[in-house]
Amino acid sequence: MEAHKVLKEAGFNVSSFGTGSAVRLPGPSIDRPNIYEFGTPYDSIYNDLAEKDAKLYQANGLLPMLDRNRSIKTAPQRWQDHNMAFDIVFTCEERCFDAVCEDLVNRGEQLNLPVHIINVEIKDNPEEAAVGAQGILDLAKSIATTSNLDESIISVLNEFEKKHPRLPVLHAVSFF
Amino acid sequence: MSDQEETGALTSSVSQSESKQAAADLLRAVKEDPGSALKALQGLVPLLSRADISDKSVVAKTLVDVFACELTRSARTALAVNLLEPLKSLLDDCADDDVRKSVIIVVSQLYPCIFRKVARAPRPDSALWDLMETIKTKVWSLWTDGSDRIKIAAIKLAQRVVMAQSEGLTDPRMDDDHQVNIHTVPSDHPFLRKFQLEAEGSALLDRIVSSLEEPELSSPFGTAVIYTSVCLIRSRPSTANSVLNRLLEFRPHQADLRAASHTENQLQVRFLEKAVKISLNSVLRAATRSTDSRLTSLTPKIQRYLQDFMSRSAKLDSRKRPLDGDFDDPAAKRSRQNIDGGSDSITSLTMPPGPASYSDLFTLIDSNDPLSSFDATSLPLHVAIGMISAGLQHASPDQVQSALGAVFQRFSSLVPLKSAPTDKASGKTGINSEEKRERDEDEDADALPAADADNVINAAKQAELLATDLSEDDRLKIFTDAIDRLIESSSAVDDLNMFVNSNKALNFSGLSNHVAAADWNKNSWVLLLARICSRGLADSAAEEDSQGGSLGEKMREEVRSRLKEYVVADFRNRLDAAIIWMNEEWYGDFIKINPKKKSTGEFADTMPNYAKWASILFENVVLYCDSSDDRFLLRWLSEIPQLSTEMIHSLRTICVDPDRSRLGLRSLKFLIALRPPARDDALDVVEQIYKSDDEMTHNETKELLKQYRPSIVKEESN
Repeated sequence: MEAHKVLKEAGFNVSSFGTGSAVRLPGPSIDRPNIYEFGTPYDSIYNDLAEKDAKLYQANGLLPMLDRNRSIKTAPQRWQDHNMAFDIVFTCEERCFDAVCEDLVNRGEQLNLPVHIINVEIKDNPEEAAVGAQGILDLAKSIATTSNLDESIISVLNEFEKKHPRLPVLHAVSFF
Repeated sequence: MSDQEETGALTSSVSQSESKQAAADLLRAVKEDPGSALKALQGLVPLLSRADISDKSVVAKTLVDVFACELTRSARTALAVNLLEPLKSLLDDCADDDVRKSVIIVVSQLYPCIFRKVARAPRPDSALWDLMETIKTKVWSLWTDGSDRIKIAAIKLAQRVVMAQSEGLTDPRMDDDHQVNIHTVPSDHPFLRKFQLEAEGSALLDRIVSSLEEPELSSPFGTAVIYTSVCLIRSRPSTANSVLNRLLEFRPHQADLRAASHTENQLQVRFLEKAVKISLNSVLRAATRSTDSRLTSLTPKIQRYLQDFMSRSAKLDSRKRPLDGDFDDPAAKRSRQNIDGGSDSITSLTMPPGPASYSDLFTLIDSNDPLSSFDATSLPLHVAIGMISAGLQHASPDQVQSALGAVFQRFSSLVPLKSAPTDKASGKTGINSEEKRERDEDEDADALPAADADNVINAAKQAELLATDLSEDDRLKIFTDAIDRLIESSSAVDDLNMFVNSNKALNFSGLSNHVAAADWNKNSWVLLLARICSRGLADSAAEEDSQGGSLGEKMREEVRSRLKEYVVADFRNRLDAAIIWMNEEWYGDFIKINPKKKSTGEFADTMPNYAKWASILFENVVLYCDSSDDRFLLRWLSEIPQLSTEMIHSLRTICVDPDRSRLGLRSLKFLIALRPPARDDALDVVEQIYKSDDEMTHNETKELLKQYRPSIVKEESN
């Protein structure tokens, strides 16, 4: 969502999704996560957690994160359940990249719309997310200024990896 | 929660031109009311003929978006029919790749509509089809030398053509654009010929998958080809085999990639490998859920490929330093490199002082290392085999070489090799064969003498001494020990699947080629031993001279007697092994037949080894077979390469045994009916039994003789 925020602020038309089966947030212990269905408004999640243990979730950064998220969009959405098409898809974990690529195959490429899928590997913590989101913004700007993306994407990504050695990338062209 | 983001349109600050406004209006109108699409389009088409490329590009992109909207079939078809001519003109007249890419994408979107309209219309429009054919031809020519943009779009159109022109579902409930296939065309169509369409589809399919082999491949195009092909497998299982075979042959790291630098090349290899892996996993998952045999039959191939892929990745990963950690700390970096260096882990070439065991000799890690106190004998055999296989796979040849060199150097500093084989009196110095065997059983029990620095000889000379100074008896002993270990370890591993898998991981391809075995399975070692004794150790000249006394002959007989013990110990479950062995013996004897040598023509003379060992096995079979062993006995009789008169006559023992007579007669009937070379001998046995007036078998033998030797029955009745 940090990347969604910075891309939106930069004027890009953005949507964001999760690829898992549910929204899983850290709980009081590792074996007791807080699980919500996709579509549950961030507001409701925020209030629920604040009621459960405001001190804990404030301290571990969950409540501030949810507060940020509810200012960006109403509720978390699931990738596999939507039918929108995009020019570029960014993922932030390899398993999400795999899930998106496989989902496009499962959909059967019926719309025939080409799409570039790019994974920027970001560790799931607030500090790394901020660095990663800036990296994605850099990449999106480079892509937006490229006239022939299909031919120049490799050099764009190569330059990106040189500039951000801690953000390894993956890329594929597929179809909606 | 995973932070996964996508962006939509990335351009936002271009001024709104007339064409953009018209395009936006069209898109909005279509989204609000799909029925109005055709009317809205009429205002847009004239813009396509304008000279301004940006206008053309905007309109063409809008058309792509329009066709991606949910339109009714009639609206979609009407749009497609009206757009075909303008699209053709655009392809011919506009050389801009962005415009052409959008046009080709639109053509791929409308292809199923046009195909269905032409196939199903009561009065099909041949002019419309000709127009489509012209467009396709143009696209295929652009594909040949086009940019990646054009190629990516062309591959998509090719995929749609293959889908329409190959086998698909015939269920009328699934009659949407995606399911348009060759069955959509009626067999009496006035101008569409199914076989021609299928041939075109097949050729295109071949072109799609062979794109991966073309020179100057780029990963954006390559990944598009991979995903497009996999989508074809999923939607048209009839294409699965040809697509998958090509995909499994594709090796990204060997592909001719277009790259400006080495890092770009590495990047593209990584992207392509990832695409192959995701695609195959997707097919694998679909195949496991599917009941379509064309998909399910692919599973083993894919699993093998993914296994190879994983082991290759593991090998590459093992060479990499871990990513985690502080890269700015030079000390940390140095210590990691030292670990990866491998050879540095060999701490000492000299043995620790005092009495040493074989275990000490081979232990090259530091004595303070916690691993040195680990008792490896506590590991189950299959775990140990797995670990050794994996270890050998990941070790570099240099590392293994230096470790062997270190052990050899330690060994030579301990033992005066020259005296090793002869100094048996003490039973302590040197590694004689007995100690070697014990080494495997109890490493720590065998103590070595202390080091003697004066006896260090150079490594090459020692190796020579080791080989030549062994007596014949020692060599025979070492040889039989090796054979025993092979047989013991094969018998000890209960979980044969595990054993087979671990061997596969080790890549036995070289060995398999030598023994002509396609794969290493539970009986491959039998084949190996059978060939060692029948051909590998056989030297016809030496054999003739030595008359059984040579070392080679002794070795051969040792192998044979061990094979016999192995087979006889559990004949019923080791019939395969027995048959493999006998076939090898027969062939070994067959190729040694010397036409110039005078032969008595006797079976035992021409096929000495086969005759001897087949008879031994036959005696055991006859002795131990019981009445329920009919399938086993018949298989044995049918699959061993040759039966001698003695062997067939030995079946009489079974026939006259009251409990087994039915089995004996059945085996004779089998030989008479299905093994013509053995028929006369088998009939002789039947005749003998008949004449012996055994009441139990009389009727059956009489029936047989009536059919094959009626004269005997007549004589008897007279």
